[in-house]
Amino acid sequence: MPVAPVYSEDQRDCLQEICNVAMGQAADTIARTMDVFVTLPIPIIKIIKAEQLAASVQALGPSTGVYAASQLFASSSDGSPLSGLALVMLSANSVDELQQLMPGVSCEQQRITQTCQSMAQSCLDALSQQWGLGFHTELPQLVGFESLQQVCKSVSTDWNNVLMVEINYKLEQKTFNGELLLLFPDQAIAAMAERLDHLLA
Amino acid sequence: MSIPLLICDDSNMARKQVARSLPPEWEVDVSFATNGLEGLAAIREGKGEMVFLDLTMPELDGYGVLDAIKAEGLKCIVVVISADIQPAARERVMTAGALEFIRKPINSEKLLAVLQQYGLY
Repeated sequence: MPVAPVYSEDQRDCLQEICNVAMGQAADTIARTMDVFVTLPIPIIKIIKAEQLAASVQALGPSTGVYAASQLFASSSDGSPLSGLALVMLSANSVDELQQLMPGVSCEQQRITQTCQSMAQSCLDALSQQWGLGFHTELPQLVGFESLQQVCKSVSTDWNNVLMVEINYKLEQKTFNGELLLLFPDQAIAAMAERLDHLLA
Repeated sequence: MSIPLLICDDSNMARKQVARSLPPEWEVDVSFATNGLEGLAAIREGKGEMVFLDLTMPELDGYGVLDAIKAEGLKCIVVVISADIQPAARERVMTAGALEFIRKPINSEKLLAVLQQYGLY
């Protein structure tokens, strides 16, 4: 049984600050497209066992009517193993509110997809830009909560550990609540540690 | 005489980035704070005639610090350095009394431009 990887406080802090900058860019995209003010959280970073993933995701998500999207991403620029999975979870209330926030988009599915893209894609683009990675992202796939659990269970059969970056987007004076999870498996945890050390040197 | 300068950010890396971006010849006496409450305490003690302030922080955020500075009439010049690049964030901190807003990540060119713009260096 391999020992679970651990990030030093400096590595965690460095990654948190990088995510903070990425999140700020994503928030700006959301603010401009929806004409709202995004209340920015402090990104939470933790490494968990892959078999705990489904339960952790369940604990984070809203309890009723969750809509979710999953999006795979990978870096192709330098052949490094920095790939992962982005999950976005929206509560049923948030999805209802999107109708009012995105009056120009009549199709609900399209509103959800666009919102997930603003939350995940802009954040990944900004991360990728800071690290010069050129993340290649797949289109987000909309899934129900049960399927989301399946997604978590299927990735966790191949992964031992998961580094989870949790970003909770809230909108001022709105009920909207969107959770973005960036999940990085074992090789990415190691590859990121190297990059972080390089930045910290 | 050196100017008391306070760098207030919850991230150790961000504090270092700001400290490394200061003009090397600038005569300042640098202190650090890791959240808004610590920052405010340091300002009250006279350690922050000039303050580089983050917005998203635990305990008390940057907006709270700006409000308290105004409410208590504390004399200091505040430059906000934040990743929150929403146009409304900039407007809010400027209204709350900040001198300027700089986008993270900070670097020496950005900082120097602001310091020179306001004749601070």
